[in-house]
Amino acid sequence: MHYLKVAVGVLFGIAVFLFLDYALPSKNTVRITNTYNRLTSVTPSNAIFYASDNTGTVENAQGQRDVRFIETVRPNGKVFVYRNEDTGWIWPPYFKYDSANLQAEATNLQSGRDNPQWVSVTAYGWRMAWLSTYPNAVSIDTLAGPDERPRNWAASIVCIVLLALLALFWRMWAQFQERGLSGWRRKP
Amino acid sequence: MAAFIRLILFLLIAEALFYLLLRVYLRSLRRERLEETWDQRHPAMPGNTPARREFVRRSMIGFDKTLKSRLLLLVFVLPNLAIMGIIYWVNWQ
Repeated sequence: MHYLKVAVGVLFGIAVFLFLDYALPSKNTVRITNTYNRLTSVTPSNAIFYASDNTGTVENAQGQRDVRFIETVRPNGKVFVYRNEDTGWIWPPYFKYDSANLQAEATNLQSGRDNPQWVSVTAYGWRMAWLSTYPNAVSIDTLAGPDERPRNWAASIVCIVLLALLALFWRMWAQFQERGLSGWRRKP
Repeated sequence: MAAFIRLILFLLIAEALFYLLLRVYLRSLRRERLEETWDQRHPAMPGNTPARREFVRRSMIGFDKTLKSRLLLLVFVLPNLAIMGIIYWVNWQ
């Protein structure tokens, strides 16, 4: 029983970590090489890694969407592909509806190997080639060079707020266990 | 638009739930402190006596008008401000 509890606890911890790793924004220093949109099939197996339907990208009868993509190269020479989709008012709560503007910005910041313009792309999500999932770019900032790594303030603040809430709920639960709801149902 | 209304609805429900929980928690803390105060003032009457209950009841009457209790309404403000902030930073920066 003890080992079962430990195993469940560890699995839960891993699940929370993966969830935060997926949903929180992360920043990458890259150079944009190409931007385009392509008909992409959103299948049931990878649908949760795309924006919810009806948020801005139209889906045709075959379940395909015309998704915007941003192709980039990292300072170490490896490539990285972002998608650029509205999230709308639904999950995940980025409330992004400027993907057309972001695509224009990305196109404007395209640069070649000889005269590179390094940018920091903020995105959430995972690149999983076997499932055809791409991180969703949220914003693009220009950088002075490939070694610059801006601090990820948004994710830090969200983590701090979540920790504070966890501490609060822990205190509330302790108070409930100690005293129950006695203040409510007291009759003389 | 339907998604926006649904967002507002779910947000309101979550905030109301959080508000109720926090209110119960703060009131519980306050009652505990009042009971301790009574016990300190009246060492001769230990335990949960009717006199102590009456003291706690009367002391709790004005609780909803205290600053702490009013600040609790920020639960309905801060998340909305955070969402507006996210909307601004994601779409207008």
